Amino acid sequence: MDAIEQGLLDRARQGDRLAMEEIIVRYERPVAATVTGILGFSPEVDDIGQETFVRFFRAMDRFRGDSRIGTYIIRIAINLSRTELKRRKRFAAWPETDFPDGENAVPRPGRSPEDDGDARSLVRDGLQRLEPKFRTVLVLRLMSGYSTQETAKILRLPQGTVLSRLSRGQAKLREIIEELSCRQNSD
Amino acid sequence: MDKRLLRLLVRSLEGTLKKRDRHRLDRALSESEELRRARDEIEAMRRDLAAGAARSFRPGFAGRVLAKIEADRIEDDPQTVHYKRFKAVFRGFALAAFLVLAFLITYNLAHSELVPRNELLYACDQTVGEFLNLPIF
Repeated sequence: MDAIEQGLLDRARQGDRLAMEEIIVRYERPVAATVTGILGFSPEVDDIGQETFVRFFRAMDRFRGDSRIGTYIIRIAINLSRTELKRRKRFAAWPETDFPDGENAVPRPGRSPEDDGDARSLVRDGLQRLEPKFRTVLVLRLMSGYSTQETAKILRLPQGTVLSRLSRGQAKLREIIEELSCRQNSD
Repeated sequence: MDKRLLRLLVRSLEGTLKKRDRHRLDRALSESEELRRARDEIEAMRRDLAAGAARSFRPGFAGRVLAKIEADRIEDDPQTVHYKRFKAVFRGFALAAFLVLAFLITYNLAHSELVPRNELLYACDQTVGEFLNLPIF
């Protein structure tokens, strides 16, 4: 952990609201990318995002600093997202992949006719159909922007396992997208 | 398509291939249009994933988190905890007292000479026939 992070953490531990807000602002983007990547753009993601930071602040006194704050926060986000996936499995046969934009909607990037074509929507749908263990690795590496090494640290996996899941995950995702594309064309 | 080549292809995008594997992949790419198409598709898929990542939650996210923390802090405040415990215990006593009172009232009314039990419960000793022979019919 660098000196700036350590300073923020120390101030947050003393109840400094500005420091807490700074931490939220710093890590909102990777948390948003991770949670929406794993769960899709669903109404719950905002609550899960909030709960991620709430849990971090509750536990920050016990945080030993053996990893970066971001790593710790993303781990919480992944665990909460996985819990939500299990909950959905109990109540639905298949997770919805595209939710209508309501007042709880997380802003989707590139929502314009020029940017958001069928391809991106297919990739998004395909990702939600990928097994969680591959999906998590793809989300961290390709959506949240972590390196392979950082992804391995976050997930507490050997780097070789991360690379293997990345490669198998991308191959599977490509197959899923091809299948979805064929179904779409035949409709 | 050879799955091993596909895996090499994906690993090549991570920059983790050994020299020997790199040469093998390059040779395979130069010979196979299918593999080149797969490479283009996977590269496009990776770009779409990166471009499709959410960059933020709904506006005002930080404020909502801090409000939630504040609400939890009040919830966990010892005074609030004691008040809630007191309410729960009081509710139990109030319910028990109500039941005892209801029992006492019913018991007293049932054993009281002022209001016979039958009248209290609207019980009627007449038979159906007697009832139908009443002048009103």
